[in-house]
Amino acid sequence: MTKASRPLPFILLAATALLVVVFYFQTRHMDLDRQNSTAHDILSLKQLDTQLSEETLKAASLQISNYDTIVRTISEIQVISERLHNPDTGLYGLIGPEIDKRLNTLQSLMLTKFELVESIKSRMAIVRNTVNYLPLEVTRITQHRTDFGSMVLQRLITALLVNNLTPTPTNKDALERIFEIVQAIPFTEDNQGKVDMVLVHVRANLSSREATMADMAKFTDQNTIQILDEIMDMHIEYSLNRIKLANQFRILLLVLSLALFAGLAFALFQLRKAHDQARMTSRQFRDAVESINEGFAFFDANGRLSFWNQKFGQLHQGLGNTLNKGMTYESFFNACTDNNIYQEFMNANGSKQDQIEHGLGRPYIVKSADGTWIMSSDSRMADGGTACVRVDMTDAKRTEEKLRNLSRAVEQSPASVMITNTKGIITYVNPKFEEATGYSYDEAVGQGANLVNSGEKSAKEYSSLWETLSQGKEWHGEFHNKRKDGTLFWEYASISPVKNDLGETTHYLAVKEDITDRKQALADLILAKEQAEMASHAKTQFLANMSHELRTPLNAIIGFSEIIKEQMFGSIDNDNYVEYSINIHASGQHLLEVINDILDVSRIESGTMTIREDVVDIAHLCDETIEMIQPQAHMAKLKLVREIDENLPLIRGDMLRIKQIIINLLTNAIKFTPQDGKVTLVGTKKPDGSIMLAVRDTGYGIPKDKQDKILEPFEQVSDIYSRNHEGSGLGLFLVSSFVALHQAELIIDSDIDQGTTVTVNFPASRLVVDAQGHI
Amino acid sequence: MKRNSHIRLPFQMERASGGTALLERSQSWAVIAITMVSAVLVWGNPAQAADSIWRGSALSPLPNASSDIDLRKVQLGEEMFHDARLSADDTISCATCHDLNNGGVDGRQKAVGIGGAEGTINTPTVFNSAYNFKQFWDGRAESLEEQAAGPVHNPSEMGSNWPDVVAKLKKDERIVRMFSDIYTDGVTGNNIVDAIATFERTLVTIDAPFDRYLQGDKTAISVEAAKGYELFSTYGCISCHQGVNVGGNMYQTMGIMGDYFKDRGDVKDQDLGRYKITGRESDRHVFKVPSLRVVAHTAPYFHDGSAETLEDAVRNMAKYQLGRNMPEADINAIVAFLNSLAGDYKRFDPR
Repeated sequence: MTKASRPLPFILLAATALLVVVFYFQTRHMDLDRQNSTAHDILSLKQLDTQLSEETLKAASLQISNYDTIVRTISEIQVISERLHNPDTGLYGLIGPEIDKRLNTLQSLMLTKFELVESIKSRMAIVRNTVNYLPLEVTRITQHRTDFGSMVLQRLITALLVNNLTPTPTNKDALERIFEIVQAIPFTEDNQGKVDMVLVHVRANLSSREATMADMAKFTDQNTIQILDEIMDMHIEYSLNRIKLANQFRILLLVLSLALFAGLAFALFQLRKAHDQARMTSRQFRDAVESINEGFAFFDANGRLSFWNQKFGQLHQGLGNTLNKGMTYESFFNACTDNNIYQEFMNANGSKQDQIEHGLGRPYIVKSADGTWIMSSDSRMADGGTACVRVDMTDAKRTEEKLRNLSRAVEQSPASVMITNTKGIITYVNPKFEEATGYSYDEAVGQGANLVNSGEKSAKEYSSLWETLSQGKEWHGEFHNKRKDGTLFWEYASISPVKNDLGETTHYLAVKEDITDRKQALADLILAKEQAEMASHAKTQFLANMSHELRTPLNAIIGFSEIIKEQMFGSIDNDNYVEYSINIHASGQHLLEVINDILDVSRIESGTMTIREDVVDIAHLCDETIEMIQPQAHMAKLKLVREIDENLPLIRGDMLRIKQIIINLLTNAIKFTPQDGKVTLVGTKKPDGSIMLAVRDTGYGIPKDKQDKILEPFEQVSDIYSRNHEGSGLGLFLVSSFVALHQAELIIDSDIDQGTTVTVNFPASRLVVDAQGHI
Repeated sequence: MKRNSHIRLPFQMERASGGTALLERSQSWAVIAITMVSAVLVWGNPAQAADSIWRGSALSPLPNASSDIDLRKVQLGEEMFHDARLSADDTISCATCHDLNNGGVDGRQKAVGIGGAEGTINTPTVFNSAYNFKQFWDGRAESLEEQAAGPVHNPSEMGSNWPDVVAKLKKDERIVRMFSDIYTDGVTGNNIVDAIATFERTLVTIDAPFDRYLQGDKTAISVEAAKGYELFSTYGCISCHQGVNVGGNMYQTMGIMGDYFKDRGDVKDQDLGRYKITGRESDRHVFKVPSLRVVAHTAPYFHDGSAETLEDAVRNMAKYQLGRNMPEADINAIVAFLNSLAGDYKRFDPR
């Protein structure tokens, strides 16, 4: 409902009530009987006035001898006039000053009239008597007399009667003239008294008659009829106006009443709407209350249970049918305690009695016999009712228990545990932390997580830590931290974000382990390794230096022994010298090879060995090598077989090293293959594009467990064969190293008495590709 | 009246010869009202209609008191009429002067008030006063109610006032009860005079011999009285003493044909008559013409109580009012007639 429409019905109601009141006062003179009565009075008055005029006229002309009718007429006029003049019964003061003025005028005119009537009545009584008396008296006086006096007296009576019948000035003058004459005439002593009396009577008649004439003239001047007509007109107009007004009021009332009804209907409609709304709200409230997970009930203002939701019922299942509408709060409470639903009060000073007396508005916790924990709150509502809320705390209590265990684990953990909020402020540390850092719980909590920083870690590292954490990931790492006493210690930390149900990080958990000891051990180890590496480097350096120093004199030995052996400067008679010189030359040669190999090894080990990227024709290289090795095979009585595919593609690689690979493999095979055996050199292009070189022999083979060993420097398969198979033991190491430098693959396939196949696979990426992409 | 408001009568007003012009109004309610007026005039007052047979005759019989009068008021009025507490010293009641057993007068020349105070004027009879057109000798009271309050306040009569009277009466439980039975406002001056006036309206002397004579019983009065009636008419007494009350319906100058007061001498205030009321010269010595109904019992006569006998009164009246010298025989006959005018007073009984 809008603000404006709310008071509308009330305004209408007030307006109608006001109108009814106004209507009442405006129309209180609308009484038809009253108006009729007034109209009747006016008409009666008019009629009576006319009647009075008539009767007065009759009186003035001696036509009536009984004034009772006039008296009655006047009395009636007075009564009616009085009634009209009375506001309670007539018109005075009701309609307006105009009519009041006329009523006053009427009254005064009437009073004048009455006075005149009285005067006329009195005078006409005199006139009647004189008129009756005088002719008889004069007749008596003038009986049987014919004198002038008698004649004049007769004339006097005639004039008197004429004047009485037709009272004109002329007749009056005539009468007066004769009267004077009579006065002047002397009568006999006897008659003079009688004549004097006659003259008295005549004078009385004359004056009465004259006065009556004047009174009648005045009487007719009192225009009461006109005033009455005016009053009547005004009254009619008034009455008609009243009727019109009443009709207007009726219409207005009708309209207002209809508006009022409409307003009331509207108000009722609004009321209905509000009622429906309230019902809906109530239902929504109930639905809401039913849907919540808390028990809810309320007792009405009379303390009677009037509503509870399903959860409340569940929590108080033990009450059974005792839980019913209309039970009082106290009986409910008693039933709960009696049925052990509220078995134990868990508040500090919780007792049943205390709860009943002071429980309202104070939450309390009860534990029931079946182990349910209920958080209760009973509070007074504004209307005097009591609202009861029951929360099932059992799960929370279990969680609490679990948490307590967890926290105990954390408390007793051998690792330091620190929890910070998202801003890095410490919110928890465990006793181990206290022990490890020297900071107590109270000192640590509230401080930043950098409390123990030694300041060694760079800002960059910290920012990577925060970045990791802020991405929700776990961060692992070490810290060199500082204790409260300033000593440093190493910790290995696992920092992980703690997330709530929504996946938002609320805290960070750092679990840290003191790794100072381990760190020390590692440092020792690294130191040892560095020393070993330094020793190895010195050896390599030494070998390189020594090889150079050895090769210089060896060149002299090999050169000169060759000159002697060839007897370049004349023959040597003693064959023993020749043989010796051959041995010297061969030993020198061998020594040179050994030295070269050692140089290579040392280069490899020092990491300075590089390969050249030549274009190598594998097939041609194999042919060259076989030709070079053929004498040795021949000497060892072995058959050297060439199985090289024609048109092998060119590859990129170090030609000398590849040649060395092939020589070493072939010499090894020859060395470890008995007489009449066969050594085969295979060269082929595999379907995947790689180039395979393989040396296959029919020798003793290599035991499986030794196959890894043979690739290491200075190793040979067995001491058993050492005497037979002299060598530096560097050959396969070098092969393996060179193969690796070419990104190729070395496969040894061998077993005891099964012969050995050593395969080198050059990857397809090593094939030489021309500008057009052809191999 | 209201019972006639819806009666439509087919005829026009019977009496209102001068009222026909009023019928010009065309408003329906006016027509209803006029119809109603006719109805009222014809049906509303049967007594008036019956009265009309006496129209034209100078004298007419006294009618019975209206039976509509409230008996309780009459009884209370009678009580009040005789209650001396209406006077200042509780010595004078209305009845002290208006002795109902003595023609409604005190028989004195002038009234005597509280403490023996001498009044100024002769006590008029209370009988038939309801038929007087005005009250008091000078007609200064329009009604019996208005009259009744006069003596109560007159210092030379009862010398009291309403608050005192009401206070005294209110001490009388019986009187208070009587008042409260009739009047909602209990004892008040208005209610006292209302009751007294109501009572006075029942003080009528009906069934007089002359009335019976008028109604056809020619033996009701003596031959002399009948002669007196004729003389009463021919001398012209009847010109003023006419109507149902044989007087009491007009004013007349005392001393038309002779100067009564000059002859009597010692002209006092009370002799001025209506002049004292109106101040008009023409009203000098003008008095209400008194009723002659119980004149036989109300000696002495005239406003000044100067005529000790009825004969004196008749003689003086003939001399000053009619300008005649009346023979003794005629006076006696007229007195005989006057004696036949008094009827009997009967206590009011509406049944």
